[in-house]
Amino acid sequence: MALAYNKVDIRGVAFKDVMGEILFTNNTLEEGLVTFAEDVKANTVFTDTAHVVALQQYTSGSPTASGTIGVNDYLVTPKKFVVYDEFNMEALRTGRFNRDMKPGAWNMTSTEFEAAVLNGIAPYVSIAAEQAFWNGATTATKAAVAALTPGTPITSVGAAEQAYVAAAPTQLFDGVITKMIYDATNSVVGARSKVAGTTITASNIFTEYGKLYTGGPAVVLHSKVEKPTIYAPYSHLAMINQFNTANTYKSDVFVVDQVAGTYYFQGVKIVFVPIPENCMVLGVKSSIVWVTDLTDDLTYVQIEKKQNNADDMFYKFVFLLESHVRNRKFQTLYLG
Amino acid sequence: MAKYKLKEGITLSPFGENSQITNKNLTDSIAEYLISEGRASIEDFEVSEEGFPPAPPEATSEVVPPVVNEDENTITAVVEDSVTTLEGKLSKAKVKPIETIPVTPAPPEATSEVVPPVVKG
Repeated sequence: MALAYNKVDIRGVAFKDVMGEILFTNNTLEEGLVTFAEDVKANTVFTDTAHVVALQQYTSGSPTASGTIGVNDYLVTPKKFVVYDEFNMEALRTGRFNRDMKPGAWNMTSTEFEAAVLNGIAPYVSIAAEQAFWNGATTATKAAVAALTPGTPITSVGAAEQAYVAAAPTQLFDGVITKMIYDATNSVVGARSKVAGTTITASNIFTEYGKLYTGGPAVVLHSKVEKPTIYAPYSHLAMINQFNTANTYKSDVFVVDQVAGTYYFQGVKIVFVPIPENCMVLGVKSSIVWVTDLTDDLTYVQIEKKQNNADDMFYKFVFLLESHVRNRKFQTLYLG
Repeated sequence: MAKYKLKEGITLSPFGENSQITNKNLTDSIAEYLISEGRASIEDFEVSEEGFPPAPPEATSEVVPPVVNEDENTITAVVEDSVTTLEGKLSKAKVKPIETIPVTPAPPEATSEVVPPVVKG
């Protein structure tokens, strides 16, 4: 039971607004920064293809078979989460929320409390889901990555990658960054491209974005099918603006439209999501997938009495979530 | 045996507020990486060339539901303590069921019976 109400007994009037904290918006969801696979209740197969072809000398007879028709299936099952707490509106009886309680001792439900307080919980749930989507790591993956020997080759986890997974919040599923580092389904190092980074500041941010820009597969930048995106942590917004201010009369700056809120590096759009500091992803939106049953589940809250012979109430959110990264070798992870 | 151990009370957040390194998830390679990148200072660690024993893992106790043996009408419960070591290995210690001590039924409580008075004529 956790209703922490620092209450003042109401005598005069109460100001209309109930003000909540300033929160990050779940940009991943609201701006559609990744791909959404909805209506997934359980096992869903995602299939990637990668072919190898060989040009051979023509023969009028029977040719020799050569090449590979490569098809990879990944089975994805979202994890089911619940956010649940209990409270009792009796605690509100002498405070501001008693003003819309109906007459009668039986009536202790405050519509204002439900609308202004309980509905305000949904953004917290949404942000927690977004953070898990990008950042989580399971206990099993943490143990598996900790047991690896870090190294520079792309087939090894880097020292920074190993430290990141160890320090990542423990979750029921591996988030996007962890999935890029380690493929827990096949127990192998993730097939991402990797760039060894460093601590990013307002001074070196342009140079570090350059490392990411040139560090990934060239085909991603040349693709006519889909333009890549740079996924960056929230702190980079301020660093980019500071860098641009310090380099106002130079051409080597980020292209920023502060009114529209758009940020570009060498023509590649930058979006800000809750990924760790000193981490960036250069990838294509279609390859980073938010797997769920219904995205609206994050905004649906059930508020009811626990049982008929008591006045204890509960609120409850239920949703499904899993992350999936497709075509991993075309996604580049900068981590320092 | 680990060479590095964080001093008591020190927790590192090398990738921001949502990342956390304690002695439970610290390895030597992580410690050396954090020092080399300036995310931690050598002063944050105790260093032992001989090596520290692994940090005590968090013990989880798993309670297996009781099995009812209908023939003998007895209930057997087994409690397994699972402990994960730092190397990721799982060692299980099974605790034998506690021996059943036969309980002698308590003697019935004395009841006071009111004998109706005998009326002599």
